[in-house]
Amino acid sequence: MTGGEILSGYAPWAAAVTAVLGLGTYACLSLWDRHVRRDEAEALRVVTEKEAAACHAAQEAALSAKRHRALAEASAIVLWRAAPDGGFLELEGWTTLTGQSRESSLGSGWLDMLHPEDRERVRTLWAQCLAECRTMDMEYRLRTAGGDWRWCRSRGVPIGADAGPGPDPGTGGGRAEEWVGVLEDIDDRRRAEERRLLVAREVDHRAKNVLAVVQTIVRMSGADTVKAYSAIVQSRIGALARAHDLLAEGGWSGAELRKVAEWELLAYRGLNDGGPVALDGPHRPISALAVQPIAMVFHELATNAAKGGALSSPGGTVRLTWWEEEETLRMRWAEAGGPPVCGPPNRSGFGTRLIDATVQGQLGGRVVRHWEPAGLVVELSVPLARIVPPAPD
Amino acid sequence: MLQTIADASYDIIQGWGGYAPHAVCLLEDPAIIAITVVTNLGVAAAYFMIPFALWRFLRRFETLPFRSVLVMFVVFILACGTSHITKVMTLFLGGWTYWLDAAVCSLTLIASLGTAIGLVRHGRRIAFLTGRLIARPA
Repeated sequence: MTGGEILSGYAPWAAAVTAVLGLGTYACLSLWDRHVRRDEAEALRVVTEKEAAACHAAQEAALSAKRHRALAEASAIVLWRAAPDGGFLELEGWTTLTGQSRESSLGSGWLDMLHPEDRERVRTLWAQCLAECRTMDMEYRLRTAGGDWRWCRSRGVPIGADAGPGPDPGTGGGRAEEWVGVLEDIDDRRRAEERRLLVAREVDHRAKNVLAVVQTIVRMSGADTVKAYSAIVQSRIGALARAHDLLAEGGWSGAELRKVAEWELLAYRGLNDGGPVALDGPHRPISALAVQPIAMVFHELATNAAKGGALSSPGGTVRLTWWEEEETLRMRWAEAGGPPVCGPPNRSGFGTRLIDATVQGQLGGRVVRHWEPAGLVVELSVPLARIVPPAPD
Repeated sequence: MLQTIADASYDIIQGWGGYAPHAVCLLEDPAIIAITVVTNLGVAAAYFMIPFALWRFLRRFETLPFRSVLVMFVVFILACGTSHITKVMTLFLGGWTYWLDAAVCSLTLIASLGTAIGLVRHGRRIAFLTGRLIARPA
């Protein structure tokens, strides 16, 4: 047999074997292909779902972080971060607030901007919080970029594996990996608190004063009958009450002199300018402290006028004028048209004594009475310093 | 008719079973036969261990993506291992074992060609999808 014959003898076998094996391979491959395609579709579905979930989670996390940040920023002027040893790593907003450069505020540099009286206390408290690993909360004065002191509240929490902020941060005991905190501006609140305290003291003081005045009224008012006595006491206490109303209306910040006069003389002034009492004077705000004495003085003047002066007869008039001369407020009470006046009375009633005591004792002023034939003229002068409200800050 | 069938059967048995054991071709040289036996059995042992391990792996890891790739490897390596056993059989038995060897080799060819072509065709896509599947969320 030649080589060619051998080859021609093998060829059909080789072709047959190749064909069979090729078909087998093709069958195996298409079977596997189907599996791979199915797996691929499944994997694609899972991947899409997973990636969508991851994307959603990332967005949620970003949103949550943004939410927390916005919340912190809304309530704080400075957001800070500190190392476990207490050295500050970051003070966002500090430079704008205090004018201190970023580099010098880090570590313990921020303490330099605190009020000298607060510095040591804050340093100690901060060290204590660090040692105990509990929530820090302190208030101190801070020098702002504008140069004034502002009350601020700094709060911080430890963050770490076994530190807060867990369900109950601030219990301490753990170890912080970092501290985060916020600084709030509580200056307005602090000042309001101080003001409230001041007002509370003021009201307390004034209530005691009023009670003392009421005691005096009850003790010294004189009348022949019980009914008359009760009427006098009532009208005097009424005057006090009106002064009080006036003060309450103005938030205990004082009142206007014309208004005080109007309130006290309301009963005599009539409905319009045709009434028996005329008021004339410039705008003059007076302090809360001076309202009550001045109201009492007006009341006593009017009561005396009604008892035996110009207001006791139908045609009588009273003219109350005031003006300022240098550092004094001068008031003039001039009666006219009343019963004829024949000199000072023999005995001075409680009203007169009250006027004298109030103007001279309480307000540091002077009272001069002229018993003129047309009617009584009372001239009062009070130093302005005693009755003007304190200049607003 | 019967005679024809009988003749054909005789021919087949004679023809298929008539080959001498392969050891004869190697002149019964103990060294070469020993090497052939030991290497083939060793390779076969290794080739049987791999699908066993893969099978365990597949049973444990039910959510494994593209399991069919590993299944394909199991089939292909089993066939490979078996072909090494049949090689040793032809060495001493001859006759029909050559046909057995041929059949096993055919299976091995189909399985390995299928695996190879399949991997070439799908490998990149599989790798890409699997990578995305096991990627940690950023």
